[in-house]
Amino acid sequence: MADIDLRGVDIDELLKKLTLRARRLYLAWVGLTGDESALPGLGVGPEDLAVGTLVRFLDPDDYTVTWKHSAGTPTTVGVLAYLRRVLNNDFLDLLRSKAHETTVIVEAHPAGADEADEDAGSRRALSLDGFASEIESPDGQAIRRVNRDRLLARFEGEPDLQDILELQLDPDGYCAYTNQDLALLLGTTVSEMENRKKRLDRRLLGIHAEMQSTSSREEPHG
Amino acid sequence: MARKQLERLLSEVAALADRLSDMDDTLTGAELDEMLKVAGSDPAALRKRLHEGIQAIALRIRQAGRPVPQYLLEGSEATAPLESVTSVSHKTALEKLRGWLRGLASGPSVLSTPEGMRVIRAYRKTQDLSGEDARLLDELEAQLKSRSTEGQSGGDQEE
Repeated sequence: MADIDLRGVDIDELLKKLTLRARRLYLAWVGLTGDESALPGLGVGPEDLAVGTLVRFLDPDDYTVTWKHSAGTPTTVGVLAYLRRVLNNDFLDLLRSKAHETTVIVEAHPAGADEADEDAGSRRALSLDGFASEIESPDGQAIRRVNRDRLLARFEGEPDLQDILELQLDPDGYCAYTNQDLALLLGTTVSEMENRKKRLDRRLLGIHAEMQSTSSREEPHG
Repeated sequence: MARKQLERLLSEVAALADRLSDMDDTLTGAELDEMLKVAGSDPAALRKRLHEGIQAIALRIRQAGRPVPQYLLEGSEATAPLESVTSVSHKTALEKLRGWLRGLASGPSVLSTPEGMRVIRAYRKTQDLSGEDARLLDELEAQLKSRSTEGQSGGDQEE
């Protein structure tokens, strides 16, 4: 990046929000695949991704992440939006590049099997490519349903949060609602909706942190 | 075919991350720090890592005999630990002070007591605060109040 005026940019805020974004990407991965164990194998954690993105942006000799002068004077909001896209792409590229070697452990539930029947399921290791291939098959759909239900079950005592999470996990449902729509739908206020979402965020990040520490205790990574 | 399905899965991951992040831009500084801590990230350690990264770039540029860009010097200043800063710009000094205040309020300190809260409130009432500083003090007060409420309900449960 050539010399640029970053006086309108709060680097500390960028760093924190990018780290949170990176954590959400990892969380989204686990939410869909139900598998935390594959991520340490990537060799890059959410903090590495966030700090690395920002360092590349600040490095005048790195031309892969640069602020275009045509985009105007950089602001915290503008730079953050740009670096979030970079970070997303880096994470997805990482998964793509490791798709053959990354192993996803799935609990296979044959289509039609009773999910409550634990004997019906067994643990299997699949490459990420293989997992993606299976995801639309009846077995794949069953695996995803189990993962989704398992995550929702963690919120059984908090139905107000469970409702929102259920919508967030549904790609078609969630985007259709603004906070105002959701407040009307759930008979509450917009500010209460925002508070619930923040509480849910906190809980999800906590659950993910807990899963990460369990996973790193259980599986030695090289 | 497998590649197409992989791409679909990856775009679902990105879309879900978007949906999970939709409140990020409304988080106050204190909420942001709290979220990071819950997620297992220490804001001070993150800042230290970034500072080291910036220092490494600056060193490489100096060793190549080139001048270090101004924005990089400012970035290094903004991320440096408080004790190692010898001269800072007005903007960086204010940012550091705000970060320091947040740090004080988030741990056990004189600010996290009812007396500390009264001092914050009294200072908040003065007219010579910028909008941003007024918001910061409101944030700190809300954080202290919420902690005090949680502490009381926790105590009740134990009894």
